Amino acid sequence: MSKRKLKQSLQSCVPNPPAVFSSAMRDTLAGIAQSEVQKENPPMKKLITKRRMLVYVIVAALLIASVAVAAVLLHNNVFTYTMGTTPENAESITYYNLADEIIGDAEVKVTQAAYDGMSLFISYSIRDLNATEPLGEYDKQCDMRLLTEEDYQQIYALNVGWWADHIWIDGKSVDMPSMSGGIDVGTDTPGEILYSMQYRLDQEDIYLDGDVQISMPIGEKQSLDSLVIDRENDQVALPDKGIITFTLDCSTRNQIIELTPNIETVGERWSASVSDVIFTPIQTYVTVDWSVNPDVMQAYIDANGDGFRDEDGTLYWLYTGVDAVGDEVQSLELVDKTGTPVFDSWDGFYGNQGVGPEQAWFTFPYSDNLPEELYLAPVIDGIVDMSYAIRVR
Amino acid sequence: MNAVTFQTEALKLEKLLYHISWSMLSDNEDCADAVQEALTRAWQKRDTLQSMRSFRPWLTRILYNVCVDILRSRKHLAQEPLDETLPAADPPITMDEDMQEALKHLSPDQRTAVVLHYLEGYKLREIAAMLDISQNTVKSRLMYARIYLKQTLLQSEPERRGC
Repeated sequence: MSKRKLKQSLQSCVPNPPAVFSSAMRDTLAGIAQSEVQKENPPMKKLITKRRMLVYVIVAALLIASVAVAAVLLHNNVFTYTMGTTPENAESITYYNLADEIIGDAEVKVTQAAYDGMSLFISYSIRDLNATEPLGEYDKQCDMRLLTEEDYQQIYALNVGWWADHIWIDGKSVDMPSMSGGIDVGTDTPGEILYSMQYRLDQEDIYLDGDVQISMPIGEKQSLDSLVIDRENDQVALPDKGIITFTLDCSTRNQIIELTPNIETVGERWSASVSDVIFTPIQTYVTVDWSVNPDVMQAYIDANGDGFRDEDGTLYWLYTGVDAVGDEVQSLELVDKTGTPVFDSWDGFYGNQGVGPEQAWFTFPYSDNLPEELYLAPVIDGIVDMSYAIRVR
Repeated sequence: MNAVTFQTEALKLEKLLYHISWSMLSDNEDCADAVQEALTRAWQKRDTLQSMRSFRPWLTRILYNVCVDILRSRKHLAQEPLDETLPAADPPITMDEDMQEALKHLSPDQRTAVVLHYLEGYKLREIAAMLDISQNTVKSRLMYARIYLKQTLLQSEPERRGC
């Protein structure tokens, strides 16, 4: 389901404010205004007492338990957690049990790591050695275990875990690049949380090769004041304490295939070309260079002004092609020469990863059976518009 | 900020405030209670608002925290019998029933992220500011929501075909 279709579907089932909500809001605001005018007691108490407390016995338990998101999915795999799916060939680049340390009452393990030539994937766990029960609550229908705030507090009390903003690769600090992400999940092991993350190192022009030492701030927690910051070189020195270090074979880089088609498609509203296609063992990264038609941009500005402004006229940002036609660029999907989508857009978190004024970024699953002719084409309301098809290969 | 400005700015956000509270609480009466409490708290704390440019994330964050408090209260009362007479939120006329059902299975946090991102169109960084959470957390919630929705909608497809 595309984002556009998802939005339409949500529009059809998310209600508009009902009268009870609107009147509650207006009554409260009117009460505040009235109290201010009268300079009497400040309107700090609720104007309408709580009507009732609704209780869904089963649902409430589920909802409360999910204050923090966590999951036990079908496979205990770093890719499943970070990408929403397990790619083909994942096993070929994944390394297991890379570090294991006991720190006080906690066990810290780097359970999995992988590098596909572009992104670094790492899963690590922290376990309360005194715990006798798994953390979180299992949701049978969705096969997911949900963590609670109490679970986090239990781990937090161990004084172990992520305490700085960086990781260190061969001793050099790296902040989390754009389009990166990470999630926390419960496991079946008593007292254990599993943390998984993906670092888009390519976004920082960092490419790894051979054996690489990776250091993570997941040991005993240290004061941030202990960090030695080299502002001139935009570096943070690798701390002596609180760090877990492991070595990862990052030889994957020699397995990637890179294409630079640069064949421009000129459309009425915008033009684009694929500047870069990188096939790694697990997925395909596509970079699109694009620009909006100046007439379309001007028409957008004529209709909406030069930028987003509040009521006082304060400019928040100048409009760019992203505002004018960004949705269309975002909707690009991988299709064959007949316009048939190659992948189900629901397959994990693939597809568009971001749209900037000049470039847009996409990822797609690895496949041995990709068509020889590949295009990116906008898919609007389920209809592929091949007039904007951009040649990928 | 005077009361009139507060009133004016808050009313501009009515739909957004409702969608956040609906996503979190799924009940119109509770949504009404939540927005009352949030507006009252916000007015009390108005000195903490440094700039009107931050009004939207500031107010939505307060509402979100109120909703979390209500959910916590529900948990404490979870032993009480189920109220069978609960009125459901007023659905639009042409409702996507599968999506409606799928949304019920999301956690409040996931549902809020989905509504803010896919329906309201807010960017990850804006949602992060509104809910006072990291962008990664937003991304994580959206990811799990998509997994939930995918599973639920795919499960309902054979039933539709069967009809």
